[in-house]
Order: sequence, then C-alpha cells, then structure tokens
Amino acid sequence: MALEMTAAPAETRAKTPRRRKRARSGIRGVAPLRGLLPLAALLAIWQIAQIGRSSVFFPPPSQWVSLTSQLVRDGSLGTATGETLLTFILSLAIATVIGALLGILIGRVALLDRLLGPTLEFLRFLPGVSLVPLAVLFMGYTQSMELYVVVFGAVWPILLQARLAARQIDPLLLDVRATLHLSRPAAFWKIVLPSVAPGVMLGVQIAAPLTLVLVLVVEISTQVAGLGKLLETAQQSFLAAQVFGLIVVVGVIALVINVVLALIERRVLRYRPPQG
Amino acid sequence: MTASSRTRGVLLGLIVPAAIIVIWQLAKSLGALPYDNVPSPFQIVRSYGALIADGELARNLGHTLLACLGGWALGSAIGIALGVGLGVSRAAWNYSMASVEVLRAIPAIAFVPIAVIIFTQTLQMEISIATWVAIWPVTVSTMNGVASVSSEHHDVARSLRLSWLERVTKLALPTAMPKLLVALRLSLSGALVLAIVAEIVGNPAGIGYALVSAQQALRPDEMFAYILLTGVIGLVLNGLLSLVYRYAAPGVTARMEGATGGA
Amino acid sequence: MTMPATTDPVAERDTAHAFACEGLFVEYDTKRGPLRVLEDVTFTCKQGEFVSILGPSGTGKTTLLRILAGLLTPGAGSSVQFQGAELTGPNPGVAIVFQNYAASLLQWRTVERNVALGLEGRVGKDERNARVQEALELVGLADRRHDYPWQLSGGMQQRVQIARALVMRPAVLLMDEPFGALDAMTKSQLQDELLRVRALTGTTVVFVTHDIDEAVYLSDRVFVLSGKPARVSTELGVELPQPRSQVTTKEDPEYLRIRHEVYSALRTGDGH
Repeated sequence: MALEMTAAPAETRAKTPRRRKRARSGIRGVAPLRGLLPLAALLAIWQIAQIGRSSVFFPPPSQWVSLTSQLVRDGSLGTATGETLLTFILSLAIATVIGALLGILIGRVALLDRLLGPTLEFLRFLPGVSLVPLAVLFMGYTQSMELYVVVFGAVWPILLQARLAARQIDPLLLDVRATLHLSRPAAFWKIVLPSVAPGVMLGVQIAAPLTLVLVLVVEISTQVAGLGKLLETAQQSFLAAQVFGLIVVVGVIALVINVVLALIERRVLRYRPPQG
Repeated sequence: MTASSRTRGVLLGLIVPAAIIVIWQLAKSLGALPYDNVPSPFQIVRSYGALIADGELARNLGHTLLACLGGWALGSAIGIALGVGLGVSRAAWNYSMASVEVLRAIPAIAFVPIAVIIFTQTLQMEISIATWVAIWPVTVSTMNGVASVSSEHHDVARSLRLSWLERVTKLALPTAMPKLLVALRLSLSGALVLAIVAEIVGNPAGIGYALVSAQQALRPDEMFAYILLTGVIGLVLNGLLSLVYRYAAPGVTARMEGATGGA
Repeated sequence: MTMPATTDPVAERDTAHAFACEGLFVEYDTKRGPLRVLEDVTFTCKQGEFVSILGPSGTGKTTLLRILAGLLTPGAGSSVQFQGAELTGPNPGVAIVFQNYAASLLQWRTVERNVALGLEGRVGKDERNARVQEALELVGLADRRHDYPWQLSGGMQQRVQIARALVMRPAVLLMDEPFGALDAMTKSQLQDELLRVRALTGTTVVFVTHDIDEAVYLSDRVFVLSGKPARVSTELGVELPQPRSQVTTKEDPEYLRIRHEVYSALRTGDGH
C-alpha cells in the first residue's frame, strides 16, 4: 500500500537551480523557505510558554535537546540510527531487486499475470504491519526477522509498479531486439530493464516511506534495536521530551532519505527531458 | 470483455490461491510441514469459528474499524479545509507549504509513543494517529486540485461576479475532486495501517492487539485468521469507496473520461 | 463611408452609448522594460449596435475586450465608461463569451447547470429555471439540457457559453473570437444564429475577431486595431441591408468595397 504518497516525487524538479531546501513540488513548484515560519513560530511559542514549567505532555524544545543529547553522549543514538538505517537500506535494496524481477516476470509473461493477478490484488491490500507478530513468532526477536517482515511489506509497491511498466514496454522496442538479434540476457539488460527503470524508481519512492515505517514498527513493537527501540523505551519511561527529540531525529532521517532518493532518481533517469 | 472471458479470468485467478490452500492442507495432513508454528488451513478455519462464536472477532474488528474510520473522517475533513486554504491563497501557500512538507515527511509511527503518553492507551490515541496520517495526502491533493483551477474558470468567476464562497464550492472543490478522491483512498489505507500499528504498539485492543496476544499465546492459527482478516478489510473498504465514488460522483467519472471537449 | 477616427468625448457621455473609452492604454512590466500593448485607444459603441474589433492575432484585441469586461484595469488616465458611468470592475450589464469554450464551461456540470451558474443564489428557483429554459431555447439547445459538455460538439459547447451569457440578460455581449476554433460550416451557422438572437433580444454586441469577412458580415461598425503598440487605426461604418445572408450579402458590391477598405486599413496600419 502507498502511504502518504501522491505522484509528487516524479514532479520534483526545481524550476530554477536555486539552492532551496528540498520540498516536493506540486503544481506550484518548490515551496519557499519562508513556509517554515509557522513551524518555527510554533516551536518558539511552545518554548516560551513552557519555560520554567515542567509539563509531562508538552515539554519545551529546549528539553528535547537536553534529554536527547544524553543519548548522543552515551552513544546509543548513534548506534540506533545506524541500526535503523542499515535495516532500511538493506530491506529497500532487497525489496527493489525482488520486486523489480518478479514484477518484470509477471508483467511480461501474460499467463503468470492472469494467474497471479487477483492474488496480487488481494495481497497488496494486506497491511504489512499485521505480519510483524507472525514474523516474531516464526523467527524470534532477531534482525533477520526484521528484514523478512520489512522486505515483505516493501516489495509490493515496487512489484506492482514494475509489473505495470513491464506490461507497457513499447512493442517497437521488442522489434528492435529482433532486428538486432539480441540474445535474451542482452535484451533484458539493454531493453527491458531500462524501460522498466522509471516505473521501478516510482515504486521505490512509494516504498521508501513505507519501508521506514515498517522498520520503525518492528523496532517499536519488538524492541530488537534501532530508533524504534529508543522511542519505545522513552515512552515507557514517560520521557516525553526524549520522544519529541527522537521524532525530530526520525523526521530528519526521513527528509534525508527523500533527498537522496530524488538525487538517485535524477542520476538514474538523467536521460529524460525535464518535466513539468 | 465478454462475460465468459471474464469468468474465465476469475477462475484462472482463483487457481493459485486454491492450489496453495490445497497443497498446504495436504502437506500438513501428511506431516510434510511438521512445524507447530505453521497451522493448517483447517485449523485456521476452525479458529475463525471460535473467534466468531465468542464475539471476539466482532469486538476487535469493530474497535479497529472505529479507530480507522474515525481518524480517516476527521483527518480528511481537516485536510480538505487545509488544502482549500493553501490552494486558493498564494500567500498562504508561500508561508506554510514548507512546514507541511516537513510534517508530512515524518513517519506517523514516530508519533505513536507521544500519543500514548498524552492519550494513554485508549481509542482516542488510535484516532489521533489515524487522523494525523489521513490529513496529509488529502491536504496535498486538495491543494493541488484547488490551485489548478484554470485561468479560464477564474475569468468566468470574475465576469459572473461569484462570491468567494461560491468560487470555493462551485469551482475549486469540483476541480480538486479527481485528485481528492484518489487521496481519500490513500488516506483510508493509511488510517487502517496506523490504527493496527497503534494497537500493536500502544493500545491493548482491536486487531493489532489480538495479533500480539495470539503471538504471545502461541496461537498461529488465530494469527493467520486475523492477518487474512486485515487483508479482507483493506479490500472491502477500498471496494466500498469505489462504489461510493461511482454513485455519488458520476459527473467526476464522466468528466475524467471526456474532459478533452466535444467532437 | 468612413467616420472620423475620434468623436467629441463630452457629447458621447450619455447612456445612449454602451461603451465610451478615451485614451486607453495598457502597459505591462516585463524583463526588458515596460511593454505598451494598447496606446491611446478611443472606442465608442452605441446601445443596440453590433461592433467588431478587428486586427491580426496578438494585437491586443483581447486586452481591449478584457478591459470592457472589467477584468483588466487600463493604465492611469484612461477612461472607460459603461452606460455613462466609470467602469470599476465586472458589471452585471456586461456578459462575456470566451474563445476557449471547452475550458470556460464547467465540465462537471450539465448544460443546464452551466447556464444557470450566474443566476444561482441571485434569483429564485422558479425564475432561474424559466430563464435557463428561455436561454437554451434561444440557442436551440433545450433538448440537450441534461447532457455534459463533453457530449456536445464544439459548436454546441460554444452555444452553451452564449446561453450562459444571455441568461444574465445583459445590455452588452462581449465576444472574444468565439467562432475561431470552429470549422467553416459551423462558424457560418453560428454567425447567423448570433444575428438572429440579437435581432430578437436587441443586445449590444462587441465582437473581437481576426477574420475580416466575419467582421464585415456581422457588424454595423468595424474598428481596426493595428500597430505595436496597438491603436485604433480606422473606424468604418458598415451599411449593408439587414437581415444579412451568407450568400447575397457577400455578393453585394458594397460588402466587397468595405472589405477592400478594411483590408487596406489593416495593411497600412501595420506598415507593411
């Protein structure tokens, strides 16, 4: 399933190459930095309103910093971030490969498509998160369990997009293959894969936030490792300030991931004319 | 597509799941899958029976649906209002869009711990998270749709001297409809997922919690039952939404088909 | 017969004139400095007249029309009067029909509801329905009231737009190259329908076009706009018998003479 994702990623092309903070572009181009004013104002007001008071629910941003820096100092934030990122990157990479290959296979072999179609349509609606307890049951509280669950959840958008793209390969391109007497593997690498790449890229961009969510869900519910574990620990200790601080960390990571993916997209698809 | 080819398509598509079930059952019956962790289809069906009989299924299903739909409705309403505000006013957009982008990028799951602290382990906590998730896709799509009111339509509105409210209801919202409908579907699935997540992680109630307690009680048959249930819920909710779209907004479908103008 | 290009402004400022513009100019700020689109345009139009504004594409005819519609404010010092009073914005006595009919109609509304758009919330339901019916009958689309725009041909869609304008019972109908996107046969059909409707309602029409034949065929007076920046280079009266006919009017020697004059005015105005 696609959480919080519209077609926006494909439209993320700044109209002018100015150094603006990356913001997804909808119909109006890149969002200007002054749009951060409300957020900044909120934090400022929050800070001022809570100074000197100790709120259990809404501690001021200064406390977020102080409590979260504890985690920095004892190294746990660094370790946790590393663990989360590692799981994220690994799962996304594996999901991309599996999803792309399966998607291409299903998309190009009509019989497979017809056989598996309805099953896929059902499975795509299955929330990946509901498999977490099952995975724990089967594999215990391990990092390989994390990978399995997250990959399973993340593979669907990629598979579906790859399948769609594979179905839509221009038949003319396949004629090219015959004309040039390309072997099967050569045709795959030179024609099929590049044609399907944009679709796969879109699938990856849809899957990325989903993957991050799944990683966090697994970490929060199983407390095996990572930022999710820190979040859950902080919650159980009622350290709201630390939770907020960790939310900010997670948010930053999410933004960084988006930027990186957009850069990868631009690199991988640099032959395409600018759109929008 | 003819009726016969359609039935053939359906039958073909059912082969795989049917085959899986059959092979699975055979494997269990013949002892080829001795793992206790893996229940047989029979066992799964039996657990459905038990869960339905003692009302547990209905209770958990009801709770999760309440959280999901409540959050979705609330979040969509807020999202539409926010989207209209950001779409009609360039100034409003300039001075808040970046904040929307930042907030939207943070995975909603990260907010569950704070929601648990604030709302404790209650239905409100789930609804708050589901609402948060639902707001963003709806906001962005509504905003894009509203901002894409054509200059021709703006001219028509000005020449007919339509009021501000008339412009929103008669031009902006109808223009935003196609994108809005897509976003509503997205936010519905998001709300469902986050409700379940909130139950797994924060609130001992509903399907999410049923999954966790079944896991801890080593009842994989129940777990499979609930997992399949969540898939069905997703499917049904989506299907219902499509139906509603077809009957409540036929003009939108007509417009999407024929917006290229007359012959 | 040409009339003098300028007329005494004071004597014209009464309600017998639908529009009286004096010294209109429009200037845009561009990267390359200010760009003057219209310069010293003086334009008058009597009630009940059919006036055409003619010029090559891109001269600023649409700009002038948008000023008359109240959608654009001309430069300081310009004077635009509608029925004797200064125009400050879109006026209920003025209705406008745009060139791009597909984009101007609301695709998600039926023909009937498109026509009713300007009346909603302003008149009672019964009166609204009656006026919509009247407007649809006037343009001959009463039987298509429940269809959507995409189900109609281009000519019909344009007629819906005309109905939407007419339902407001305007004193003046402004039309921006309304038949430009239509094929020749539909065009001549709609031209005659427009004349017929006007004969029935007595509405003043200001018609923008780049088609010389169309301008001469339809109008009582033709203003030729040309040059960069554009000015009114010529004003011609068209005294041809009414009702006009696509065949006989266009064979009338007077028609050919006026046409010739307009053509020369266009060419000399451009300095070609």
